[in-house]
Amino acid sequence: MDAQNAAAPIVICDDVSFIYPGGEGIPALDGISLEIAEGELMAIAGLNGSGKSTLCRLLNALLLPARGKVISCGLDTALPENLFEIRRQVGLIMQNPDNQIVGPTVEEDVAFGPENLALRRDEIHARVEEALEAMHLTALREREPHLLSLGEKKRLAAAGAMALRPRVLVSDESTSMLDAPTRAETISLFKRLRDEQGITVIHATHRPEEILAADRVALLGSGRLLFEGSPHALFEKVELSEAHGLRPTALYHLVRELEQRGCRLPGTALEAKEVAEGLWALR
Amino acid sequence: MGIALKGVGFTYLPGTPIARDVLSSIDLHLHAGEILCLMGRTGSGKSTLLNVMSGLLGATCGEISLDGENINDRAGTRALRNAAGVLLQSSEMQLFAESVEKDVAFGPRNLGQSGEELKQVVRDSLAAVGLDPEVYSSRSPFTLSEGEMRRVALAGVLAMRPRYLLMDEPTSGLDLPGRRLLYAILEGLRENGVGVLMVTHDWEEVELLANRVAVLSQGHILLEGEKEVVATATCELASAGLRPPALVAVLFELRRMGLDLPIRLSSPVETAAIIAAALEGAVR
Repeated sequence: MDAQNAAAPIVICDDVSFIYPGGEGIPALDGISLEIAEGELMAIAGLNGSGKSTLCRLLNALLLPARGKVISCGLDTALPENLFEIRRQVGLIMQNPDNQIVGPTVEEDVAFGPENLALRRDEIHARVEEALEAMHLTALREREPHLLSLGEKKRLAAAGAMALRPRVLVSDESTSMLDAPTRAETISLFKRLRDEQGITVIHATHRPEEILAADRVALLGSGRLLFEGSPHALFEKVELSEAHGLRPTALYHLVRELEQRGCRLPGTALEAKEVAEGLWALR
Repeated sequence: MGIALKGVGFTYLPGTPIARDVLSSIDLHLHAGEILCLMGRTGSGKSTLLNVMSGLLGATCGEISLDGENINDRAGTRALRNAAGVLLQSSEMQLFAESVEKDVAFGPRNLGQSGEELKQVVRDSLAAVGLDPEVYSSRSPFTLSEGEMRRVALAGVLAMRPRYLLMDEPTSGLDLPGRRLLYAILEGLRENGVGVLMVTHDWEEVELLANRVAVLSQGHILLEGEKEVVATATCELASAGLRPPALVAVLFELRRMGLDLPIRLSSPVETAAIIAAALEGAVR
């Protein structure tokens, strides 16, 4: 965490506001100032309509701020000449995968991004293999995307973004609609990308267990930044987190309940298996 | 009373080289006045099952009946579609009208309602999903957030007063207040005798709402029964690629390690008590 804080921020939002056309003057984002360090896994939390998706889209210049500045990978998103480089370096997994699937088959869709970067054939091939493998899509590689289930499409959208090998991966609720094992695998994948490749992952989510897995969390409410800090610190602010729809998981409650009974578990146990192993060690 | 599937199978693109069997030998009964949760990994056939059950897709084989009547002609299919309201997976994609009011009114208008009666139905349906009609009626649905769009889509389905409600992952992407509101709506519908089938990946929802749970794996019903039974069937769940609820998983892991304790679906406080007692026993 300290090392991460020392690194230069890879994403800077400086007093950013955004109003949608037809939004009747109500800002979707209002005066957001936020810095995200390179190699950080950052969760973005908040109710529906709080501005999570808008923030995600501002980070790779799909939207441009009405006021303030967004600097991604050192590049001002408002300058048209930066657009190509920003899109190359900041990958976005959208909420609805149908918005970003373009290929006639799964593997061609994953290859679309790397092909547009004019990479060498073998490099494209390697990246496609890696992304298919990571998202468990190898067996479906020749399938037409419209024959996939929505959960499979979500994995495909994630594979397409990963194949670009971005420095920053922005995930707009990419885990919603996935089953629990695939959700957990996606979060482990984000951690692996962070740990092995130093990729910064920004993940918008409603799920407490995913927020707890992040290094830091930013909580948005009605377009404003309400909290920025460690996930545990957020959940300790019971009133704030409950008011914004964040209720800790049953496992979190179990760990607190066991603590009150004198069974103190080491570290922060997030998975059933870790909790069981911690308890077994207490015998 | 209910929608019953007997030996139902479904194949996408049958008779072509890329034909794919998605459902086979499905026996499932959705009763009036119950909430049946359907679980399964992505790609296990959940959405297809829901579409077959609502008459949006015709079964390749097997029988479907509505309240005891076999569905075997176009009139039957129409009766099924009228009785069963469907909330699709990306329900915001169901929206199309220029205002929220017109979108919600579309269904009941097609059922013959008009004038003040129609307006009242729209207002009631919007209020039921927690959207103030004064604020939302004239807005374009496409200026709303995805969570709000989902609620408008649900209001449109409720406005048709369905006897059965089939929902494909209605809470994914909804925040906690949105989910709680939906739970309250579903409990109200159940009390009024509506049969609800809900696809979910979330055990918390199952614990809170379900009367029964069915687990789908590779197009087959692998498990079906009361939530307490299904939630603790850890081996079968694993073979469907699913995990049990987190607290059941802790109990199961501890038993696997050698601790003598019962495996039960219970609250964090009760689970903590079970574990504390078992640990004490192990120390002695």
